[in-house]
Amino acid sequence: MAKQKRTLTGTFLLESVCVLATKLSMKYLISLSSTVIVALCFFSLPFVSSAATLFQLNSGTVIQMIGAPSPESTQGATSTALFNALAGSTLYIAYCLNLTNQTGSAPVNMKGLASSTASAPQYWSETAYSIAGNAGTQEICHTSTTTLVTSVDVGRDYFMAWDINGVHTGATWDMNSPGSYLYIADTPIAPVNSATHIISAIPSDGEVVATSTAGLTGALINVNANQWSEALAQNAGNWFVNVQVISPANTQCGWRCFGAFGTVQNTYKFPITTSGILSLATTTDTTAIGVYKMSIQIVEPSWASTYLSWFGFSGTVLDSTTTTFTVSHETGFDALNASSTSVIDQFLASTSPQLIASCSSWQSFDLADCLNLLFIPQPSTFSYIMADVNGVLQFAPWGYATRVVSIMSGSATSSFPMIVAGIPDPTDPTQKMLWHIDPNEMIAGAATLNDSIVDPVTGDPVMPGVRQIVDSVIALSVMSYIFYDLIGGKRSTVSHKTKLS
Amino acid sequence: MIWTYLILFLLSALTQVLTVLHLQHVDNLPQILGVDVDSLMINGVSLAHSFFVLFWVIGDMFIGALVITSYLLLKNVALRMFLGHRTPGH
Repeated sequence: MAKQKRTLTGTFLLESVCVLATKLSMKYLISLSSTVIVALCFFSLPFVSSAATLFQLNSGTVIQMIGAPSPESTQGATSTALFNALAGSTLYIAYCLNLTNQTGSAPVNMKGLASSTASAPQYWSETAYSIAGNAGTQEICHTSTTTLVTSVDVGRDYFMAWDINGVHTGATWDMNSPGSYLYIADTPIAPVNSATHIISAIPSDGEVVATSTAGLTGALINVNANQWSEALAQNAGNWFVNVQVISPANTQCGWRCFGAFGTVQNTYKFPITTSGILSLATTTDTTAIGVYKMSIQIVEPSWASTYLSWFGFSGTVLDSTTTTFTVSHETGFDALNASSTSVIDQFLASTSPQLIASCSSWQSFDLADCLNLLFIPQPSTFSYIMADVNGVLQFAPWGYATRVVSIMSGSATSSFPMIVAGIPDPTDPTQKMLWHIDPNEMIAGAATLNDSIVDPVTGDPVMPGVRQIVDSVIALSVMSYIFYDLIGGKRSTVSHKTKLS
Repeated sequence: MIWTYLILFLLSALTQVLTVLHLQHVDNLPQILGVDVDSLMINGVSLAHSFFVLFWVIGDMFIGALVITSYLLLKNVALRMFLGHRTPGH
């Protein structure tokens, strides 16, 4: 009986580390501890690259309020519970306010979450944004990053105050301009384009929709209040939006036509009767399968186009775009899937337990909900369980392992310690002088040096690209190793015995 | 939902048992021979984090090593579970 040991071949660092770890674990550890190591490895993986997120507000969520603010308005649509939960969070805010008909010359202060009294502190950490008083028409647009410093009682105080002159007296502005808006998000907000423009088509460009006899077609547009009101004063007619829906190319005409021709199916003319962000859409028969085209224009009419349109006079096109959307059938499986899971989706989305409402009341009895209650726990119930599980895991003696995992999964970083070296003093060799080397400064300098390497053509830094390449090589190496091992190229990753006689 | 309540009941029962046993929550690791293991681990991990953030190539290779190690351990555990003493190399 000879024991043939497989030697570790290759110089690949990952392979060596892992094979060594495996050998050690298989030789000296029992299966249970191996399982613990596996669990630790897997549990620690997500934490290596995890980043802190604002959990109260899903990343990318935008609270958007559109409407006509009045001085110290509550802006109604806000939720007290939501903003109380967001206390201490960093928020990104963008707002735009159209002001007209000023009297006097006092400034306008834009305060966020001001109290109902002028002397009370504002709730946002940002200082008030103001403009000097100016006659005529003003549009104030501002984008900022701020921190919600305390909780808000929307019912008592005010969410957003448009504070005129600080004391609400003196100068007055017409604040009821409907083009104003306010955005709040937990991610940076792109500069808001307040010009009159087409925001998107309905359906949006490239969207795939199901066949329908009542599909919505139209446009989402933004109308600048000042531009619109001035145009109204000068022109005879209202602005309007032209939407032309072109049906899919007709390929059924056979020998009667060559090529494929799209036909104008519908033309809609939506009058613009107010400013701000408007959704203008109507139902359209979209039963033909294929690619529809839409042509959208925002038109400012002139007296010539209003009264002499039959001569070919057209108004000024303020913005125009051409988009497409695709009409497609739902497959039988899609339709079945949607119908069979809709009840469960609705059940999971609800936050309040439905046991009483669904199963114990004759009036609102729902057999499907009752069945769901038997098998599908709701998220709120799960959160209770997880809270209990977390508490249980902290008990001794397994609480020590929980604590270790908790420390290992921490994402805190610390600075490197100062390196102090003693060398003989050149001026007096009997004495020593200390040299202090700060690794953090060296690293910061190296990082600056790395960042300064840019592509000579585009000017973009090259390090992100280098990192992607290196990461790809490492990932491919890992996958190759696992694949090589799976197909038996290494026979076994542990030492095995071979009978020679 | 029924098994959810069952789990809740078991968890609450377990908590009661642990309370009767006077087990304590472990908030910090103990000191061993005067060495604060908890602070030592926190400092070490945060330094390791700094190291891996700065030298990301080594950090990414470390993650790769974790993946391979986990794969090998899982594979061996699974083989032993299914094959027992017939596991190659056993």
